[in-house]
Amino acid sequence: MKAYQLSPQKLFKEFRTGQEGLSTSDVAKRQRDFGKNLIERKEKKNYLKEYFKQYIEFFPILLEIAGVLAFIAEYYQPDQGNNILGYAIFGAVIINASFTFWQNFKADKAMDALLKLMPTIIKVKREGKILEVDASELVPGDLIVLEEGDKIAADAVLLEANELYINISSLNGESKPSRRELTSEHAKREIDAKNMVYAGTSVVNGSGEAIVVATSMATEFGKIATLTNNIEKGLTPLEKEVINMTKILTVLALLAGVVFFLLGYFSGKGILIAAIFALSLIVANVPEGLLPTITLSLSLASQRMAKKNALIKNLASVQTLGSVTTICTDKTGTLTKNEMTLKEIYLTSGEKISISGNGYDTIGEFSINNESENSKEHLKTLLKAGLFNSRASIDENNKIIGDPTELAIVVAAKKYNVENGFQKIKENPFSSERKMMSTFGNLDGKEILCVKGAPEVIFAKISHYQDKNERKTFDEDTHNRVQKELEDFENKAYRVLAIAVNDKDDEENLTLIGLVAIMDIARPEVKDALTRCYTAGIRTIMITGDNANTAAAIGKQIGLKYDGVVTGNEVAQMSSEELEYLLEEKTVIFARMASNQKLKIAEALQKNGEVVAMTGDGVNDSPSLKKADIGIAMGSGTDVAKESSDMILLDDNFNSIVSAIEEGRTVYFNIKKFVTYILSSNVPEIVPYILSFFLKIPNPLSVIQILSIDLGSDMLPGLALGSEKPEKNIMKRPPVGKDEKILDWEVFKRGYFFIGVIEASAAMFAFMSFLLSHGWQYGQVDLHDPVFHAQAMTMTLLGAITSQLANAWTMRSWDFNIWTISWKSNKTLLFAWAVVLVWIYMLLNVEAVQKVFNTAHVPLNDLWILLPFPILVLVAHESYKYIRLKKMQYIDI
Amino acid sequence: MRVISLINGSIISETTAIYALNYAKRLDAILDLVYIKGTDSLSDVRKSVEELNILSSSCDLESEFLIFENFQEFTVYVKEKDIDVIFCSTRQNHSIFDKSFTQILIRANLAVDLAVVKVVKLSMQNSIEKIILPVRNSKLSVKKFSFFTTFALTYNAKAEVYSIDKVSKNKMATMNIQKEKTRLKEIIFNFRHYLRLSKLLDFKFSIKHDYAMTEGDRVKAHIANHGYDLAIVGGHHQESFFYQHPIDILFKHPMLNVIYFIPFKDEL
Repeated sequence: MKAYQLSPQKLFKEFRTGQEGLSTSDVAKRQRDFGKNLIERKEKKNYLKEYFKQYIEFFPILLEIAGVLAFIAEYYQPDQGNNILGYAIFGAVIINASFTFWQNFKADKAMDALLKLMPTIIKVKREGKILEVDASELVPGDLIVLEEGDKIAADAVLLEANELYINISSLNGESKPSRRELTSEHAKREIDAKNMVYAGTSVVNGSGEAIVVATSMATEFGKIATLTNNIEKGLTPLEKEVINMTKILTVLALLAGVVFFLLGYFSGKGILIAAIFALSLIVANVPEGLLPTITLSLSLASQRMAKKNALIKNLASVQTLGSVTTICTDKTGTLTKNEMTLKEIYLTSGEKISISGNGYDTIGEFSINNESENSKEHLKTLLKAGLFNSRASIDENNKIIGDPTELAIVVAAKKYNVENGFQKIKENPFSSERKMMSTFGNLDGKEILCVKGAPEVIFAKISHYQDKNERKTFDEDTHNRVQKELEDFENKAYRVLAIAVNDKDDEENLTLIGLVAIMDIARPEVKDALTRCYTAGIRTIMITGDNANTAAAIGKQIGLKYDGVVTGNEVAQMSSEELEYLLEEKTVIFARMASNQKLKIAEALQKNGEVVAMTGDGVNDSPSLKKADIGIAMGSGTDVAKESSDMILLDDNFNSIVSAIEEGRTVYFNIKKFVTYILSSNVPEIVPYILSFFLKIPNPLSVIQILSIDLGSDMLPGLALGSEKPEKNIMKRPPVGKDEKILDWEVFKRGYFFIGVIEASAAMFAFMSFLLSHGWQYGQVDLHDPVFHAQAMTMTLLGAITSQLANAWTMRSWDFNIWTISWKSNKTLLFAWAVVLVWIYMLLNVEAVQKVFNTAHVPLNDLWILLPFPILVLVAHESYKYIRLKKMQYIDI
Repeated sequence: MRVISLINGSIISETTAIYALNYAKRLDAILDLVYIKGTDSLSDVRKSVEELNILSSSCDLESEFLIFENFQEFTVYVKEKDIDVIFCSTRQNHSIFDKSFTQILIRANLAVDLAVVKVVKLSMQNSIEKIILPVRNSKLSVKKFSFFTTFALTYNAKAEVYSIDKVSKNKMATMNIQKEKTRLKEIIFNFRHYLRLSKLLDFKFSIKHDYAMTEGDRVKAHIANHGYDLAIVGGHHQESFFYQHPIDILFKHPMLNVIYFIPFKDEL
């Protein structure tokens, strides 16, 4: 038998205690045996250690070796500028490590928010005395004293309960207070035991005494904390791509380095020359600016998303949004407005009434079939009873206070000009177990008990019903008639409440007045947002606590595509494998779900290879928010949910999720664009080296000049590409990242073999034509005039930089021609262009810059040679896109 | 065959003894309730023994209460008798300098299996519905499996072997989860002799498999999410100062009662 199934006597025996509580010596022993009543926190990350880890990854190690080689070369061949190169390489390593660290690590504050739910001081009975002690001192067997407003520090079985209600939302998401009893015969799990109170919950009403049966991590709250603390999120699609990309690019760089080192060495150039040559190739091949550009691009995107009510907490999530294949969304507040509206009323006398108006607007019309004075009076009685039995209110300034369902009745009463003319004497509050509430008092000078609640609960307490001015027996025929109306309402997705009265303070033998049908109005923009999701190949799964009928009706109303409705009980019976299979085959609505079942759904979808976005707002949603690829907390949700999420939806609106996904996809393609852009410049960096190796020509480009492209002139335009606006077909493609990778053959083809080749030709043409036009003859490897050599290298560098400027412009669209985009729409790119032009001027004219980057002034009449190549890049890539677009069928132009 | 349960009068040692009692009953073994003299109160010990004797006689189990003057005397007894396993409870708090009895017992390297029990929930020792055995990289020794099986059969509990493979961040980046599902088939193939045996014993257990970058965290999350009543964890005789076995993390701040099973490595 579990603790909650034991009688108080057996509990005392089992826990070796009694009505007086534990003795001080017992408490000391148990504290030694069970430890302190504290929720375990994971060891805080050592951020310094995490930062230094960034230096021992494959990619930085390669650069570090290159840096060391540069310093070795400086030692053997001083004053060749190799030391500057060494510093520059280590600078690149530090920049990369810092950006990666910034992107990946953030403090996890979910546990801090969770621990705020635990009390610090509690009342405990020991040796017959009630003491206030530190909550961490509590041990199993202690007797705790509970009073209204108390936070509870441990799981305990009740020994006494006086109208005790607790707020258990932190454990099961149930927002209504839960009444506690002294027995719990039917519960199969501790969390369902009505005679238990739990750590992390609080007393909202009444008082009680309970025996502690579990402390610390063994509590139900401990389980939530364990899940919050220990759920391991998989790598984001971007993280996976970056790992793969850096691996491929680094291996390519390393291979090129090794091959050319061997070629150099065996062709008799000497080990040092061969090593410097290999080093140059490695540096040229490694895209040093890639990681900083990705990080900055994500950061800019997160700022844009904040303007669309999506607050990004984890930078990598921006791109993950673009890869989302399934959205699991709550219904209330996200798909609907959470503004309950009373739309229809059924009076027991047979009249049906429909009410116009939506939300909390107090203007609306009542249309009554078979309208008569009697039916008007009957309606007034029903609205008065509803108003009387409600805690919600709307003041003169239209400020709304209270529960949305009660507000619906209050608003309807206001629409019908029913006034608040009563005096409350007693209220029996609503609880999730009772599913009803009642208020006793004076209404229009008469004593009356007004009751409202779930129809199945109220029907069981009905003896009569109101028929016009008469009170008649609630016979089977009447029951069937009302039941039919109830089912009609439920099929229309209404939440239905029965309203009844009694002339004495007794919740039995009630007189039914009518049914009120309340609807949470769907957000008008949801239908369009769902259509966008379907076009974008994203499926949406609704998860709701509502019953199956209501869930299905809402689903139909908003245009949700689904194959069936599965209830929480059915999910509980399914194994993980069965759920995986179901979700692989079908799209379902989940109804009557407990929020701790969300984690099971997220896991099943992820095992099917889906990228899951999951919404949530409660404390117990925290594990599923952490597990999902994108945990989306509602702005109106709890702090724990917000801290556990990757994104906070400030307006709770489903439409904002879809907008964020669009932004995520845009970022994905923008990263693809600037990766292609960055790879393009690798070719004019590598080709001059290879040619200088095989041909008898001077060195066309120095290593420091390569770095000036990667970490200088490429950076800003690359970043500007990252802030490009969405392309028009962005939500007509399948989710990105699943089949389509950032670094795919298309990127290599465009970057290396198409634009890169043109750029390399530009760089070499500029170099060779400058040499030839100034009297150089083939075979002259050593240029004795260093200024002349610097001028020639400047031409190579400018050939690459100017081609890249054109590349940045044409790369603004991946699929469409550039003239379909406004030239002013990316102001960052215009700014980047201006900066690069200034940089070109400095390379040509500023002595300090020339000294560091081995450049020199080149007369204007030599610079015109550079002009045709940017134009060629632009025309060639636009033609390429045009031809590709013609071939591709799926893109809807 | 005898099963020893060490008692010191504490509520956790009494709970541990109930696990031992149920285990001994399943194996028709004699239960030795052993007290080694120390700082604990003998009257508390006697109270525990009284309770345990009532329980053992109610289920027709032969039990003996033995008192030893010191640990040395106890080790002699262990060497002389046919002992299957020693059950011993362990506390949540002990200092680095003041070695707990459990640590002394583990380091003594007695030629017997040890079951160190960490009790965090009372009243669970008689109602175990779900029991879990986490293992790493599908490594499951015969001793561990037979101990686990005995417990599962004793309580007629739903049994699960949870196998976890550690993967690096880089491996995770290239893993195709759907393709990796074949790993479960591989594990089932590796465990086929256990499955055959379980069929003969009319004992059913399920096998689940998962990948994680940090195994301990994954196991903890799995347990918290699926609600088990008891976990059996493979333990070690030698603790390393520098290295903590990943699954040992379960034992540090458990959310359920855990038996840390340390099989004796016999020469055979």
